[in-house]
Amino acid sequence: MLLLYEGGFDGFLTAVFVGFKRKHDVSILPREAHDGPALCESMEVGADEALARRVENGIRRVGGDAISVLYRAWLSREAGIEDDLYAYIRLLFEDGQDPRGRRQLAPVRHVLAAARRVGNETHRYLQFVRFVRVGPGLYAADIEPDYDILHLLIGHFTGRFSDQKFVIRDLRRGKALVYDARNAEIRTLPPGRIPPLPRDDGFAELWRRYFAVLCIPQRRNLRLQAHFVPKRYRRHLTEMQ
Amino acid sequence: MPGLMEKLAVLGEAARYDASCASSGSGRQGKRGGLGNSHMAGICHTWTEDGRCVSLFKVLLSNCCAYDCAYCVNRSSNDCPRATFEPEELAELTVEFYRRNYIEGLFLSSAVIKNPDCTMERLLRTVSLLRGAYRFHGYIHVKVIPSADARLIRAIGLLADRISVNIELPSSQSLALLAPQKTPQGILTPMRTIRNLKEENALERKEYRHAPLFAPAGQSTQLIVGATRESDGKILRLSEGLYRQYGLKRIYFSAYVPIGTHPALPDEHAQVPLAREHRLYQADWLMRFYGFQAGEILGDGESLDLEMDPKCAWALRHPEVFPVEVNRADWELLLRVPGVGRTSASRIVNARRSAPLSLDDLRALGVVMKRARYFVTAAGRFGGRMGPDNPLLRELLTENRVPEQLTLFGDVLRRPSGPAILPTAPRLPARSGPAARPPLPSVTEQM
Repeated sequence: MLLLYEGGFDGFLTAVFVGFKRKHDVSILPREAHDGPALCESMEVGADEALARRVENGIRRVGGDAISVLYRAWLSREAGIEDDLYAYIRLLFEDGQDPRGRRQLAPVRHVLAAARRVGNETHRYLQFVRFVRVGPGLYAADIEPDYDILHLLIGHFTGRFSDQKFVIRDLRRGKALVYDARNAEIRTLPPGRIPPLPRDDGFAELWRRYFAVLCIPQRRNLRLQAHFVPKRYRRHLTEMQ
Repeated sequence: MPGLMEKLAVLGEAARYDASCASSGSGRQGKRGGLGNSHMAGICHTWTEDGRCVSLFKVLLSNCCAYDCAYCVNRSSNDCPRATFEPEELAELTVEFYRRNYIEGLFLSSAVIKNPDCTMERLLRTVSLLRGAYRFHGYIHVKVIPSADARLIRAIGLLADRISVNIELPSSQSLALLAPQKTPQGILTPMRTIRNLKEENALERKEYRHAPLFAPAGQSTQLIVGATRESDGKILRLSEGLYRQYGLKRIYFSAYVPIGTHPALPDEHAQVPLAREHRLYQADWLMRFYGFQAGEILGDGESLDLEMDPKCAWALRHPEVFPVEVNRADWELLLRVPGVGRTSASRIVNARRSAPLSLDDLRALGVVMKRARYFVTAAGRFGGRMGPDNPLLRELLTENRVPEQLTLFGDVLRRPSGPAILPTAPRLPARSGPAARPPLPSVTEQM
């Protein structure tokens, strides 16, 4: 039985609820992934707030932060991740504890690996977001993440820069995180060409100069540098522009 | 009068030989109306072309040094551009870089401006400005000048996250020869002071929860490798003693980059000992995280093997310990297996609770089977092509081997009692006796 869900992570959790009711004889897929006539029985599942919360609370009761592992793995939007997530949740309830210790099992490995990939991408943006001052007390940054992690950056950046207004634009998805020194929210960017950010704001050039003198020439190792700073992040890194 | 850009270039370049880069160890909370916080694990923001991470804004307050230490690019006799920051300039630069998410905080060192205490006062003024007027709550690492007064150390420690003194040269003889204005006591006394102040502070905070925090990220130090003739053995035993004596968080090893000014120093064309520095860091990790003692890592020699990591080298010297059965060995013993790190060892211990592990399971758990297969059994099965005591194993485990053509005839030597030695094979590991693990030697501090 194929469950086609929509409505984001809550939709997925609702599908999990349905799966458990139907004694697990299900395969879960996001609605967009399945087009054309169904080859087997299928059912569409929309996000149900109440059911999603029931599933979430059930997971929290058993294994504290398993829900965040599941969420991050889900954010990877990898093909087939939903079935691995479902298997993980089944193990969680059957064992009565978080199955993350059982790495011999393929679904556990897949879920943990996907969660780690999304977590690493998020952490890399803690490192690589670069702001430019675009107005009095207003800073802006551009990012192009592989996964939809913009909202995962809210806590860190609002906590750290609590007294400055900033905008982080996700160019790939046309969204932006907007913070006005009090509240943060995610807004869609206006359609059409997105104007690039200025190259210098008085301190960007200073930073570039400083960065250039830091390298000890006898220790030059571009391969090592590329290992830590993959090329795809460099477009928006001030010191490498 | 140099502009800000020139000052920044001079003082940034002058500070780059300090290897310390961490912004970890402090969970400093942000405050309303203030700027910044600290991430406990630290965050690296970028990497330079030499592959080193940049986490903090690392600068000297001034590079006009009164001392003349032969190994240092800022020594008073060197003809190089000199500059000094005003405290306000530096504070503003720090805050503006921070606001743009370039850095986690400030790493502030300095040349000796007239004398140690005068320098410390300037450092204190800068850091006070940052924490006070600029309300900066990001990470601050301040270098303490040797022979500084304890009261100044205390004042700075209450504002900074980490404070440290660099030992640089690993023996008092080298120090006397190359940096006669610094004394061993001048370096070790502040380290002792910092340790004492940390202990006092821990007690204060037990009694009064809101007592100010002294250097939450502790202290570290740096040793220069390859400037003088101290062996790896001397450096490792010194490191071990320092960790024990002063409770350091970390010791950094900085490969000496030759600037060729003293007959006792390597000249400009000498190679930078990067491989040696790498092995020392690996040995340091073994001491801090894998339960090794310096004597075990070194074995009978005084130098670390450059061709092989110290853990493999130890394993080859102790074939009697292996193979280790992963389903039964305790965590400490698992840590000794080449290819098994702390994470893998924990995963093995957790995973085997539900079912016995096979060799394939080990790979799934993150064990580096390329090395570990020669040293473990899983439910009795052994995965290596040869046993842990086979002399050819060394060949397989050596890194960056250049393939050599073996000769078939001639030159095959045979010792009276022992295995055949191939002409191109490296020296064979010594066979140790059937005894259990060798007794661990006691540590004496040496400088």
